[in-house]
Amino acid sequence: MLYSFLIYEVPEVFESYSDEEKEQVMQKHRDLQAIAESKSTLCVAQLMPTSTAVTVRADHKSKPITLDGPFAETKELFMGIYAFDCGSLDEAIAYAEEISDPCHTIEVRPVKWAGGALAS
Amino acid sequence: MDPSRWFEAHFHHVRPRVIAALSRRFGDLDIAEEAFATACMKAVASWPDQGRPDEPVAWLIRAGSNAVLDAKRREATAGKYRDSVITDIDEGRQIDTDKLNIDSDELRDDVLRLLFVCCHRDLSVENQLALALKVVAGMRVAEIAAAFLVKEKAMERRITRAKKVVRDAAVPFETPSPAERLQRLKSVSLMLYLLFNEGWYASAGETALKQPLCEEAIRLARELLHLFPAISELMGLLALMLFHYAKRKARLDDKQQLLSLDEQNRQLWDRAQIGEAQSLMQKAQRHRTPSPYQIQAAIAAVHASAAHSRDTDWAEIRRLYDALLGFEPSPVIALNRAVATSRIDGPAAALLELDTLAARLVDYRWFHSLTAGLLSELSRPEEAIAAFDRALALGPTEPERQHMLGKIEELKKMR
Repeated sequence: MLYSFLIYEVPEVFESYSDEEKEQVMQKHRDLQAIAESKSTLCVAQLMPTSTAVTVRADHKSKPITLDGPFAETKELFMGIYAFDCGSLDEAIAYAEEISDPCHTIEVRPVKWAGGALAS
Repeated sequence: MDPSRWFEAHFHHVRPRVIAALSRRFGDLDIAEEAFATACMKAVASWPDQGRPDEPVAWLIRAGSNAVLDAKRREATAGKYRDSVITDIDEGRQIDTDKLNIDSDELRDDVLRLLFVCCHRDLSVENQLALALKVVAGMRVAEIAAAFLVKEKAMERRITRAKKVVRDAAVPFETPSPAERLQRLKSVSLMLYLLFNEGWYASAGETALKQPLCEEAIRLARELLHLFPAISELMGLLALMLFHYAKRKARLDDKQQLLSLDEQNRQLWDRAQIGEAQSLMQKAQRHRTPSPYQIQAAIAAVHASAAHSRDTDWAEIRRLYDALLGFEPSPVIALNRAVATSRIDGPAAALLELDTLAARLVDYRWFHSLTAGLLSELSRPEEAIAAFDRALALGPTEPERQHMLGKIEELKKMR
């Protein structure tokens, strides 16, 4: 089954790390990316900070409006996603543990439908 | 990671909001700072067992408020035993804090107010910055002192004096009118801009000491934009800071000398940060209310998008400097426009522009060094040497002096 790993940033923790600690976190991610790539079905993306975001919202009556910033006051900031094939939930959790770190929390969630590269 | 580091990062992040709310409640910066410190200690003691609260900001405001009220009650009780003075501590208020609702609109105006109080016009710019760094950003006095190249004790005294000045600042706590809010945002934006510049335009030897100022300016600008997400001026300001800061790894050479944009290895520019700056600038441009920060960001964007300095779109840069002059007819901006002209139409055309600025920039050493450079390009060595001499008399830094003396030697061979 395809599993997604949704990564939520804990504000400022990563920034507070030394270069060495940052490198340790990055290395864990590079290792996971290598595993993900070997599985051929792959989606990897890191997003920019929410300050760069706009939100497009529509109701039934008028033309959609574009608002600055994320829609709601979100406490944990969504910052990136991995998605690839895992044999089981246990396997997926094991990968999440590999990249776990106080600077982000990881939601492991099965994929219901996938297009693009993931569909192949 | 050491869990205390996690706490430290978290407290650093929420500090402006918590301090702002506590200052509203108690009307005093010292009390707010102390209460925040106590609240943080309580959090370190209780969060590991009880779990992080859903609303950490509200939790800390509550804990801080209770700490202040407890202390006041203790003082009052002690007083009562001593001389039977009846106190005015309001018991109802004490209970209230447990259910304290944090209104996010009120909180964002409180953060703005707190920063605005730091821009008090009776304080010098440097003291405004020092106060904001200490109270709002939570920088240690020793770090602030190092960044401003003064002794810790001296900085301590300046901050204490600055706090006295702002203590009686008549800045109301009521929700500001939209016009008043924009006015406050303007003052605070300017302070953050100056804070960034203080950190960025340092001499080569001081860049490491001054770098934290850039980081705090970026952090506070981010926080403010988070609280006021639709203010295009803040987007432009943050974009401008990020465009500059993205070049931090490229601006020093092996001998720790500052390099000009032309000389920098552009491979070392932080592309992710430039991308973020570009996104913010595009968001700001959608508002169609250009500000000087946004235009300066656009100028930085033109430089950032050139793979090599020879690919720079100088015509666009000159157009942007004209737009900037529309906001602020400053001779220094006109000088930068002349640099663009020299790249587009050549040194003779640029010299004509500089002639119109001579009277106003006679004491500005960059005016003379730029003039000298243009005269050298036009093979007019006598006049170029004279212009370098004028620049040398206006207190250049040591590397600048060496650079100019070298140029003069070359020019002497030309005559």
